[in-house]
Amino acid sequence: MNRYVLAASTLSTAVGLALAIQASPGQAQGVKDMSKMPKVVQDNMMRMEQNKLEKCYGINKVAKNDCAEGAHSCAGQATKARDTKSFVMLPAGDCSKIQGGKTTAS
Amino acid sequence: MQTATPSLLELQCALRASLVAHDDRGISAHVVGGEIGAGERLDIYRNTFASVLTTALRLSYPAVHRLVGAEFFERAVRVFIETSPPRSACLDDYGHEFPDFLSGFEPASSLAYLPDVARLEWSVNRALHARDAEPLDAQRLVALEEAERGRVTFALHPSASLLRMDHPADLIWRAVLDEDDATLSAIDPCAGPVWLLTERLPTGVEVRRMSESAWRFTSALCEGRPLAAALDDARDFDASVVLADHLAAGRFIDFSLNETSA
Amino acid sequence: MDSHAAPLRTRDSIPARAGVGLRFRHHQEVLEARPAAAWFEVHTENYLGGGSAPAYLDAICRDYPVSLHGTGLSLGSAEGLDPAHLARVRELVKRIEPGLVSEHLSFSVAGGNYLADLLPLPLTEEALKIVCRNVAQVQDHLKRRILVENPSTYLQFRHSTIPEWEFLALVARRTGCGILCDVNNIYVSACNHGWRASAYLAALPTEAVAEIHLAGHTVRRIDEARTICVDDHGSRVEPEVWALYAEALARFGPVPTLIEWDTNVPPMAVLLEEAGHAAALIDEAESANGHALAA
Repeated sequence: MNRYVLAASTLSTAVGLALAIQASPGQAQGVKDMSKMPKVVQDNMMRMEQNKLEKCYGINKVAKNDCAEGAHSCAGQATKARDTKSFVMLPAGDCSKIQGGKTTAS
Repeated sequence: MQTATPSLLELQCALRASLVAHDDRGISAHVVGGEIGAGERLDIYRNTFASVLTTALRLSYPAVHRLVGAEFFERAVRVFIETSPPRSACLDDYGHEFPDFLSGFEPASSLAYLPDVARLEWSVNRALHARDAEPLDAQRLVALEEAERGRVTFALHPSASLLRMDHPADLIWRAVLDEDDATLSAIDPCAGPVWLLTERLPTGVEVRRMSESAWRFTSALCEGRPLAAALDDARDFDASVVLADHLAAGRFIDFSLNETSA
Repeated sequence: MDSHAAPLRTRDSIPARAGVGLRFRHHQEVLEARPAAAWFEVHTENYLGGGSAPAYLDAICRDYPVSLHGTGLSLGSAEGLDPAHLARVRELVKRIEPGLVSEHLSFSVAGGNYLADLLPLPLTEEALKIVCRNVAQVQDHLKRRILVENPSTYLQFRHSTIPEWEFLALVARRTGCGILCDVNNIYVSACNHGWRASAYLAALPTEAVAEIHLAGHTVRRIDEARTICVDDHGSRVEPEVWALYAEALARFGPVPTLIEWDTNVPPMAVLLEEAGHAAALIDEAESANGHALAA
C-alpha cells in the first residue's frame, strides 16, 4: 500500500473511532472549557480536582503570587541572607529510601 | 563620598543587583540610613525576594523538595535564583530551567534520577497552569481530501507534554508524593528509559506511560511531521487506535497540512 | 429599604461594604457554603493561566462582586511595562469584568527580571513622569480606570523630593486613576519613617479614594534598641490601624474596604469577623454622613 493511501485510511479509521468514543455516553470527552458547562457539573469537577496530587502542588492551598503581595509575609525576618557560595551539603531527604539510588558523594 | 543622583533606570538596576547578586555597592549610598542601616533595610527586601521564589519553586517541585530534604532544597534554590531570576511576574511560569540547573549541580550529582524527576514535575506544573484551549473537533478532519490526509500534522494541547526519560521518574515521583516508602524502596532507579505523557484532564493532572512506538509516533505528529511520514516508523502497534485515543481525549487542539511532501 | 439613608457610594461596581481577600484555600468553601462576604478580591497573577484556578474564579464571579488586585505590572519601572504581562492581564479583565482593577505605587521589574516584591521608588519628578506614563498606558490598554495603592516601605531614597502622599495625589490628578488607600501600609510606613499617619490621610484627595485595604502587621525587634514594623498580612488588624481606618472613613465616607491576610491564612470565619468589624465602622460613617447631609 502506498504511504499516502495508508495515511488516509489510518486517519479515516481514527476519526471514525474517535467520533464513536465521543458519542458513547459516559466516556471522558477530553479537556473541555469548564466555563461553558452547567454549574453543577463544574462543581463536581472541582471536587474531583481536590485530589492528593494537586494538594502537593498547592492548587488547593497556596498560590505563588500571594507572597509577592507586598506582604513581607513569607519573608521571615530582617536577618542576613545566608552565604550561598560555601555549599557543602548533601541531599538528606526521601532519596535515602531508594535502594541503590544514593551513592556516596565522590 | 560624592554620589551623583542616579536615573530611575540606574537605581532600579542597582536594586536588582542588590537583591539578585547581593551586591549593594550601587545602591547603599542612595538609601537613607539612620538607626537602621541601608544594608539591614535592603535585607528585608532581599529576604522577601528569596523566600517568595523559594516558596514558588517548592510548590512547583514538591517531589524534588522531599527527595533532597528541606534544607538542601532551600540552599540549592538560593544558588539557582542568583543565576536564573524570573523573567515573568506570573510565578507559575517560574523555574523551567531548574531541572537543567540540577543536572549540573555538583552537590546533587549522587542522585542521577533527580533531574528527570524535576523535568516530570515541570510538566505537571505546566499541566496545572497552561492556558485552556478548545480541543480539535474530529469532525473537521472528515472534510479533508484523500490526498491531504497524509500531510496532516497536529498541535498538542498546551497542558500536555511528551517526555522521554532515562530513569523511572514517574514511579519515584508518585511514590514520594504518596509517601509510599515500601514502593520507594522497591524502585530500581536505573530501570529506564520510560516514555511519558503528562496532561490535564477535567478530573485532574495525569501522568501515564506510553509504549515507545506510540510515543514516537505521537511526538512526530506534534513536531510537525506529516502523518504519512510519522507512520513510516509505526510498525508494532495500531496507529489508528492511538490517534483515535488522542482525538477522543481532546489531546490535540488543531491540525495543519504540512507543505513539504513527506 | 430606608429611603432616608444616604445613598451608598458605590464607586465602580464594588459595593461600599467590607470584602475579603480570597485565597486558594477558600475557593471550594466559597462555592459550597456561600459565605456572607460583600465582595472578594483576588491577586491577578494567580489567575493568568488556565486550569482550575480561573475556573473557580469564573464560578465565584457569578455570585459575588470581584476585584482584581495585581502585583506584577510594575507601574514604576523605568524600562516600561512588560507588554506580554499587560496583554495577559487584559485578557483576564475582559473575561471576568471585575468591579475594580488595582496595582501598586512601586516597581517589581528591573533589567527584565521580576523581583518578586513591591519595591520602593525614589519619589522624584522623573519617577512621577514614568509612573504617570505607565498608569496611562495600563488604563488605555484595559480601557478602564485603575486604582493605585500606597505601598508599605522599609527604606527611603536620599534623592526623593516629593512626599509619598503628594506623589500619589499627583499621579491620580494627572492620570485620572483612583487611589487604593492601604491604611495598614500608611501605619507601617509612618512607623518606619517617622511620618504622621493622620497627616498622610489628610493629604489624599478625597474624591480619588475608591478602596481601602486593612491587614495585620508585626513590630519586629532587630536588637535591644531598635524595632521595625513589618507588613506581614499575617494577623488581625491592629487597634491603632482600626483607629486610623475610622479617621479614613470620616474623611472619605463609606468606601469598599478589604481585609487582606496572606501569611498563615485563617479560616474564612475569622476573615468574616474582621470584615464585620470594618462593616460596623462603615455603617457608623454612613449614618454620620447621612446626618451631615440632612443638617
